[in-house]
Amino acid sequence: MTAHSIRRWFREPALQFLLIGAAIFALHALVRGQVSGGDSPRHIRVTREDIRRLRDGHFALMGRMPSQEEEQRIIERYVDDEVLFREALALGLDKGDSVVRGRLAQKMQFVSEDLNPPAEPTESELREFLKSSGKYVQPRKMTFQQIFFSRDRRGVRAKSDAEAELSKLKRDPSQGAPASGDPFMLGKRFADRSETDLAGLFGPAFAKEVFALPPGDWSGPIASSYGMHLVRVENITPSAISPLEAVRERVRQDLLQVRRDEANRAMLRKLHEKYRIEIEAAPTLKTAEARRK
Amino acid sequence: MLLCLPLLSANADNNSRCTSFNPERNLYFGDMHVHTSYSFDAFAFGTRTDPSGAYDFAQGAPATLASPPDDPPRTAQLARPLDFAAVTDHSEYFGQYPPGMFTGDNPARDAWAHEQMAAEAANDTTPGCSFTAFIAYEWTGSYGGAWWHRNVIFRNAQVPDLAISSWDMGTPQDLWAALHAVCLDAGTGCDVIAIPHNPNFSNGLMFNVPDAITPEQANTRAAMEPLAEIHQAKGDSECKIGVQNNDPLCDFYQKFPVDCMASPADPTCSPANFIRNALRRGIELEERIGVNPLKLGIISDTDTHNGTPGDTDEAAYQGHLGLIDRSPAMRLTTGGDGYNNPGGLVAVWAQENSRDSIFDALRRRETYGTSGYRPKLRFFGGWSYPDNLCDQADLITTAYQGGVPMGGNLPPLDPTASSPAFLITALRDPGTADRPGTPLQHAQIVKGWIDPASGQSFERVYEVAGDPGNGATVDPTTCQTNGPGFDSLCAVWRDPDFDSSQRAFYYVRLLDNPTCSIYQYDCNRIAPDQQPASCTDGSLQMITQNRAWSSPIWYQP
Repeated sequence: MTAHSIRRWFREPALQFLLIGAAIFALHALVRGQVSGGDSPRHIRVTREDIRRLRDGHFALMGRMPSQEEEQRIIERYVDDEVLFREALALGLDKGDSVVRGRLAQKMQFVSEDLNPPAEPTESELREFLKSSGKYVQPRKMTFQQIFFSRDRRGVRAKSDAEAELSKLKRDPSQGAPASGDPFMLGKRFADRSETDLAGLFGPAFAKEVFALPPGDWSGPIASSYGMHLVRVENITPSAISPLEAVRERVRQDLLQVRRDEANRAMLRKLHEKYRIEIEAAPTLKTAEARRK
Repeated sequence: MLLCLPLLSANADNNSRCTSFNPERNLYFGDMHVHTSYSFDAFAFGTRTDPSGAYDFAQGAPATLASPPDDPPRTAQLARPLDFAAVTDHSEYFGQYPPGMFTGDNPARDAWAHEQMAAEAANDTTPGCSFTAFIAYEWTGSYGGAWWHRNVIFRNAQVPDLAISSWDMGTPQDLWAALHAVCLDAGTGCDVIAIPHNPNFSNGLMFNVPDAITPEQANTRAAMEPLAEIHQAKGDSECKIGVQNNDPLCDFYQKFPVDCMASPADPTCSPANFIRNALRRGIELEERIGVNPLKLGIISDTDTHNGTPGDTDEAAYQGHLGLIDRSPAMRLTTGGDGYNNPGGLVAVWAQENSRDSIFDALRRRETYGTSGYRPKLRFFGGWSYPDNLCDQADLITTAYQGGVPMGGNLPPLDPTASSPAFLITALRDPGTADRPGTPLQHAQIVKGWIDPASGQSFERVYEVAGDPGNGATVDPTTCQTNGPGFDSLCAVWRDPDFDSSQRAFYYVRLLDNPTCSIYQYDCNRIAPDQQPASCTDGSLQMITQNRAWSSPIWYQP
């Protein structure tokens, strides 16, 4: 790899993203106090583990281990950063930094989650949550046949042709599998599909109209994105809550998450008690927005 | 009424689990390249949506996007949910992100376990089969600054305890060997494929298969990697003008602005960076050694780093890199240097929406990729299709019975046929109530073939349906499309240049009428006096054509 191409890759923004990511990672690691040995605030010791981590970081960026020269530079840079980091802490530069602040706040939340793991839900709690959440509902579905009258093939005639075919079908309702109409690459019969499925296959307006049909007779014509369709609904599966057996793990995880969120809020409420919190009156949002512009 | 179902003997081996089972196969859209807060880079970009949140988003729930502390919060939501998704967080640094979350002895294993739990919980195992979630990760290997990244997708919940990273296994060959050891040969029911992506970033590495490859090595590669990602947020990898071709439609969301006609030696102009060239390389090698190591089906994905699978709608696009590309101006300047478009979607034809059925479709390559929208495309090859197949009510039944779908090998040569016949049939994207889809413009077949005397490969693009000169236009200020187009296309095409001695592949490229590119959409979101120069200086392609690429059908003499 030539020096030129290395420079080019360094200019490559995707790589720059990784560099930014690595910088934030390094910052995080420092904040976490994982990195940086030393016995006193004025003693910096780069440990073997530190060096391994720096090598890994280089690998993540460059796809290879650093050369000896590169490693020397990386360590020097690391020591420089450690010196700057400690000076920054001494000057209180971590205060008021929204990135540092947000990161530490999130860590505190994880700490609280580790300290207060949510209780494993019982069978009846799972059943109750399944029923009350409204999330584990299989939508209403339909099984139907359709006869297609292509707009590309028939133009404005698609509608009248469909109407003519419909009156024929009404005269002879015994006709089962229709041979009339135009070929349709998605098929004639659709088994147990939701309104969302139909919106994706035929367009949203068609889906809505079909889902208003009762089962039984041929009806239409109904317009899709492709032309006109006669539709006969064979069967409707009503919307229903899934049986717990089928969604147990999802319900369990969701309920655990609800409990985790509750525990977090409870912890926050408790922590709030340690503080006297004052909120000053601020200008109304409208004024603030106007000032920003 | 079930007796009315046309039964195909060829498909009878697939057991039905879902009530929507269809032996002639349903169409499902998905995204199998998705990063969340578990990826070191996505986290650094400010993304806090986790794997569960990403699977929820894929099914239609809103997600919060990264925004600076002082800005109002940003959310995104799909207008149309996906049918399936795979979260593919980087296995490198697994467990270190989100920082502080995994504090046990083995954070990497714990993060991987969480990824599995999220997919297991999202995967609908009821007969309703509303959504399929795959357990997956990204192996992010690179060499000398060039990328040979792969997404590793597992069939089911039988997966190894640890996700192999590029620090464990540095080359694709080592990755495949390791996946054999811990998965395919482990006797646990584990099954896996690896999907290469961003060959455009590989500086000639991705599909650079040497002449010295053995048939055994070629078989290993073909079995591990039946697919490749042709399009995603970091640019298009179908083909590039000047790289063994002069096809004007290759000029589509190219990531690197190098003129490969003028600078063919530039590493971004290597034939090994593009899928069409890889398909040609594959049949060249097959001609030499009898095995095709690059028998690649086609998919596309987003590669979102916002935890937002399927988030490809230009009109609603908010970026894919968290804080870095959150505004139109950022995307058009520095942030947009990384990601140059919203990416694509993968479509599969499968009997039902279940892991087994979709994984089987991926394996047999009955897939196509789109540039982010949802046209319907079927492609079959055979010897006996009648000229009027498009007029026959049972065309799909006939197509399956008399030939193979996209991704397959043509049946053995029919000596009575002078050329193979291909069925190409497509429907436009119906869009949503707010944004109806764009009409189709035309369909092409891209053919690659071998001259057996020289062993060299060639390619040619054929127009097979529609009208590339229909005069359709788009108004750049409103992005409103105008002019004629097609709701559907259907054609039976016979190769006029067929030579039964020449090994060949054929794939379909389906094009919409012209639309605004993401750059035009983003420029329109910025007040004229604040637009960056690129909105007006002609450096960006402001008008483009959305498209889909089918998996190829191969002919073997």
